Amino acid sequence: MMQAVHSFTRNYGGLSNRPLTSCLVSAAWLPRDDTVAPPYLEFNALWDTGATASVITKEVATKLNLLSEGTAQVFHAQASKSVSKYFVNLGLPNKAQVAGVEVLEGVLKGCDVLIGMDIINMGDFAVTNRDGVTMLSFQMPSIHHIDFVKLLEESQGNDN
Amino acid sequence: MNTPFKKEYEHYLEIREELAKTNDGKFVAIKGQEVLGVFDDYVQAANTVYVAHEKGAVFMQKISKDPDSLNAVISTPGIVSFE
Repeated sequence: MMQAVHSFTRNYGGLSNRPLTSCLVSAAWLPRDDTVAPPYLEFNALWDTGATASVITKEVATKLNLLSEGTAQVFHAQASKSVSKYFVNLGLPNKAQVAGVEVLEGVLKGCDVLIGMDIINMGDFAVTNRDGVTMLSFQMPSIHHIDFVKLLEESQGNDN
Repeated sequence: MNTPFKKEYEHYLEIREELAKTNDGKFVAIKGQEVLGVFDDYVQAANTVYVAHEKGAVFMQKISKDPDSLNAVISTPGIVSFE
């Protein structure tokens, strides 16, 4: 049976250097008989290929009543620091849900959640800018590669 | 390092290599210096350990052969900082 592929595309209507989308976050749900799924809250998420891990703000952790379940060492522009980590469920705009995701606590400017390469690596991610319009597209799971060199060669071959 | 899980974090560092030999990719739950169990994933780990232990009192960690797995690199100044 073919695995379901979930995808979404966001059109920013102009050039954007901040690929933001919405995302849903809840405490990691433990699906036992006696537990009820915790509520998902919606937050602004920045997709960041420069981050190896995903990050949430302290405010997100507080709103979701998250409790720290560990610590991680973060290396950033200035130095390294140990920070709290939490486990959450993420709901992406493609309706895909990722359960038990490890996220770190940090201070974010202009967003509540940073979606890092840990999530981006679960699928195919593209940012394109034709005609000065930024579009972000993501699908999960990964089903193919985008090879611009090959696409160009094919398109030139078709012209001949 | 001043965090509530300092003891557990340091214990994990000590046992990581040995644990990873047969449990790479699984999850370990540690309280103090006691390994509460090794599980297939976070949900299974949490479902098991949070019956007898309070959430927030147990260190949960994905086991990895890669020593860098405990580290994260965030190279986006202006967007993210850590206080």
